[in-house]
Amino acid sequence: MEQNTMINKTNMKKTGFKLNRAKNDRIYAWALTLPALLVLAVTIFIPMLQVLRMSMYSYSMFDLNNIVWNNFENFTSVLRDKEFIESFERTLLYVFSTVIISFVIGLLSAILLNSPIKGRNIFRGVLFLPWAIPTVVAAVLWMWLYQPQYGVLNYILNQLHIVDKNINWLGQTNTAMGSIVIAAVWRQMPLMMVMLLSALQTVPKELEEAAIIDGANWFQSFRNVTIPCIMSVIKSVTLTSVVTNFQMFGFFFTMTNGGPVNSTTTLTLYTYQKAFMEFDMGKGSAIGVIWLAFLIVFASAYNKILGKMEVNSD
Amino acid sequence: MLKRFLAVSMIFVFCVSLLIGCGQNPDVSKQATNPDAAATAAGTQNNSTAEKVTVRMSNWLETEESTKEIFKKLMDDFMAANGNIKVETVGVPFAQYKDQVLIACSSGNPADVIMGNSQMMVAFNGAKSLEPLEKLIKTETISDFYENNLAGTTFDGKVMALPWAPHPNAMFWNKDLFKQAGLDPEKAPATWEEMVAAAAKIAALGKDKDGNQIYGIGYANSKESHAGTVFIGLMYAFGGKFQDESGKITFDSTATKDAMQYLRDLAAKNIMPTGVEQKSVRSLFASGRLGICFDGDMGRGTFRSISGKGAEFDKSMGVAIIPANKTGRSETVYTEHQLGIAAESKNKEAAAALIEYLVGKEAMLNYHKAYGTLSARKSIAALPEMNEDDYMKVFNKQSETASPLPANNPMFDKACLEIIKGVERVTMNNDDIPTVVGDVQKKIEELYK
Amino acid sequence: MSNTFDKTHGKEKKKKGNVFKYCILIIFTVIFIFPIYWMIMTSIKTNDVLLRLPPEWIPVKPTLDSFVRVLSDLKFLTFYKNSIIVSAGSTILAILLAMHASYAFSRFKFAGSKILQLAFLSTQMFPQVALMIALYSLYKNLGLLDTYTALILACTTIALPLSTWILKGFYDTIPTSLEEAAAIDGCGRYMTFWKIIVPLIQPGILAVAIYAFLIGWDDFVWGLTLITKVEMRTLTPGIVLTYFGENSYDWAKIMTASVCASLPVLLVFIGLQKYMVSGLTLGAVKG
Repeated sequence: MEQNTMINKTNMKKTGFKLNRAKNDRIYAWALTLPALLVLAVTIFIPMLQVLRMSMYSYSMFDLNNIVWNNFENFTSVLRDKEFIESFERTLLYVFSTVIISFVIGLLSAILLNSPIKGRNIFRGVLFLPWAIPTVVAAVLWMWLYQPQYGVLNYILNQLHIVDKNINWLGQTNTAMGSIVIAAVWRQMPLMMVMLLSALQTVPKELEEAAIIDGANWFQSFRNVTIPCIMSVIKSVTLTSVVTNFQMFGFFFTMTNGGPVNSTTTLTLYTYQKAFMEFDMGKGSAIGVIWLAFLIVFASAYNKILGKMEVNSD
Repeated sequence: MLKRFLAVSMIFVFCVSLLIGCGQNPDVSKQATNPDAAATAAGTQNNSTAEKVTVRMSNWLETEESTKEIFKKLMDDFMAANGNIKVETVGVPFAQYKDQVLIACSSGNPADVIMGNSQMMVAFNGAKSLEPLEKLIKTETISDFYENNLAGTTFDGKVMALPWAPHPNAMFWNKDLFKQAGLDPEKAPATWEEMVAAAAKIAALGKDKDGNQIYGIGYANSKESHAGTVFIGLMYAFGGKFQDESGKITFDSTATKDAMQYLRDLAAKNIMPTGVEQKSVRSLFASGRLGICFDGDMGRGTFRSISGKGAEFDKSMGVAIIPANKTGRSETVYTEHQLGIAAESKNKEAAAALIEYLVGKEAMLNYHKAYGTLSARKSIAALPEMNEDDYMKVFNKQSETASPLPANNPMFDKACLEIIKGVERVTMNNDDIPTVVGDVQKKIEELYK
Repeated sequence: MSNTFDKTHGKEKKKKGNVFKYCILIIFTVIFIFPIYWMIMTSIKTNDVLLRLPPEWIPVKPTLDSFVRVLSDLKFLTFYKNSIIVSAGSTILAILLAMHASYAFSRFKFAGSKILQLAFLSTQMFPQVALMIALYSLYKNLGLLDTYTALILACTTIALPLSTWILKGFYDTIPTSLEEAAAIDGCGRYMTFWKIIVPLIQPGILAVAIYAFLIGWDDFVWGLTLITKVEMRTLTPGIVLTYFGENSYDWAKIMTASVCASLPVLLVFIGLQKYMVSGLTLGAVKG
């Protein structure tokens, strides 16, 4: 940066800039981010503030003109609601299962595709396909696969004698969540795979080879050399996946509508039911605020913890 | 440097404003026909001004394969008879319909005419989105409706919607399966016991030649609030009531527990599939793997289409009124499509003209011919064209003892969802019935507070 | 890989390793591709065949009937056109916005930069369902309901966080010495940005383009809420609207519509995916 300042001073002399370069920098930086900020402000920050406001009032869809400040009652009643806690737990279960499983499969695929085998481009292309299918379409496709009476999954399992009767995958409390996780992983793994693959391709091979020559086996080399090099990508890609999966609505609404017996009611569906079936916008907004707070805390902590494991190999 | 940057930001701002400008798309509605020649032949529905009025109608009929054509015809016929009114339809898929209309209403942008079913209308009314109709609709029309149906659209003493198409649920049976099970395919089960016995016999057939499980009887028992209404119909058959006259929830009762036990027994013996929504029940029936099911008048059309056999499938299905159970008469519920006018509509008279037309004789006869729809109006239901074959006669007879859904509280939809969660607990998790029924009762009381 | 490395670790071992790798890859591929294969197979069968077991692995009487019915419905082609416009629009907008913002995040550590980055990501940390009414009112007040603009803005918003992050990674790999050199040569800051830096991250831009396009294509909730006119509908809500009825699941038609919705994107994708991956690679994506 010192070099920069020297050159800057020369620049200043050349162009006669009267402003302090640092201040100039700041203005420039803000100017660059401004367009994006404006768009986000209009399309999301302002509505978010509105909803934040809504969460402080008793806001029923039936009485839009009669909103009453309710002293955080929305929050206390939501936090005390057993169903809220259970939905939250289920959401955590869903999110972490999906992210971890899609990460593991994605990493495996990336490692395999990173090695010099023939035709890996074809495999890569083919394995990427599920991501090009819109979520709602994927949801219906899996409903069709999971169909108890004519779905192909039951048929295959029955023929292979792994099970002996038709399982109602989406209609049984013990299989519904798992079935959705599988569908979600199917759709999201490709993105993980591609990001991790490109990250793997940036790890200098010499480092890995050096480790192996030093006597480490493949696994040790992977753990101590490769992973730290790609940690920043792992961090970002998994965090984004966690945040987006919290929002997952398409799969749950289409495939199970939160059932059976609430076993797949995640936070999104719970919020939806509060807002659109019980018409309590105040509570719905309060849930949103709690959700936001949780994720911000989580994101910051996650960044810190994984950040320690990073290596900047320059 | 800075100049360049300013230039780019100008271009950016320019582009954004272009986008906003382009955003105001010219109206290229394909739904409107412009029969100005018909203006001279315009009927009694003319507006006082000669200007063209646009009426928007939100609905889901145009999104369904089986109804989209008749719906378009109804709209076109109306516009042909009313040269100065243009109808723009807003189609929303059924599953999202209630939410999307509520969003539109609460943001001050509703369609002028709002279609709905009983559960939805009570929600729209709760959100104060509907306009009372006594002043907009002719008195003769309003008094022509059956009391039961009109009661279902009257809230706080005011008529807030017109009953349009009632769908009472009757009993369908599969003649092929009856024959296979050694039962007379032409004879409908006449008593509740016969019905249950027939179901058991059919389920005993086990698997069909393709290896598919055959079921005896099917009730929608999972996932959606509609399945909750099916349970309410069953509860009525066992002599129960959802609410008493004072509005107190009477879900927790012996009748309800008996109904739950009935479903559990059927599930345990594998006579009834568990975890199914109404759509799946229809698929099973249409593919010949379900002996008995319950559906509305649209059943015939739906089964013809899903089975892939068209009118051929008529030979395989019979329809009859549901046998009497504990109450001595055939108990069932009907779901109903209704029509309302938005309170914030700027074209209320034109909207009223449209819904009067839709519940009127010409439209109902056309709708009936295309789709078998029933009418909730005494004068129309009695017409011979509405009773032309045995199928329609059965449904008209079923209407006589069909009860409206107790949809008098905006939370009714959610209450139905809670009921079905109770059914799931009983049929799938084998939870203790009195506990489950008590829990559901408490939940509904909470919602209705 | 260096030759000495190979020699010390045996070609034999590598060959066995390769076979093993192929096996796993093939298993993965089959599992991941089967649902798509099934989707295509279902779309060329008729409904009565679908509701029967055993399922036909290869249709006995394949029919393009469903396709004819779906594609001849003018509405479907309208949905397609609208989706393309919205996706393309939001892609261009997302690229423009992300390009500038992530450059700032990469090059300038200004006060509030970390918070801003978190703020970008936090736009995704709020339940869409809670926002629906607020957003609907917002767009209505701006007069943007039933316009392409509304959807483009909504989809851009969703794509922005990850797009910014991807491009920032790219910018991070370009040494600042390039800009310094350009500055010495008297090149203005913005010109440096446009003429020198941006061309270097073309692969990143392509990656963001594909990502943002798929986000736009995928959108269901906003397309359903902000658009009510049939002629403005986009594909995913259009399919749900047309084929997910009150009465029944028309599996053949649903699958056909899904295939039609996904196939072109899949093809474009297969063609471009090597650019996307090589794009990410060249950029050495480092957050």
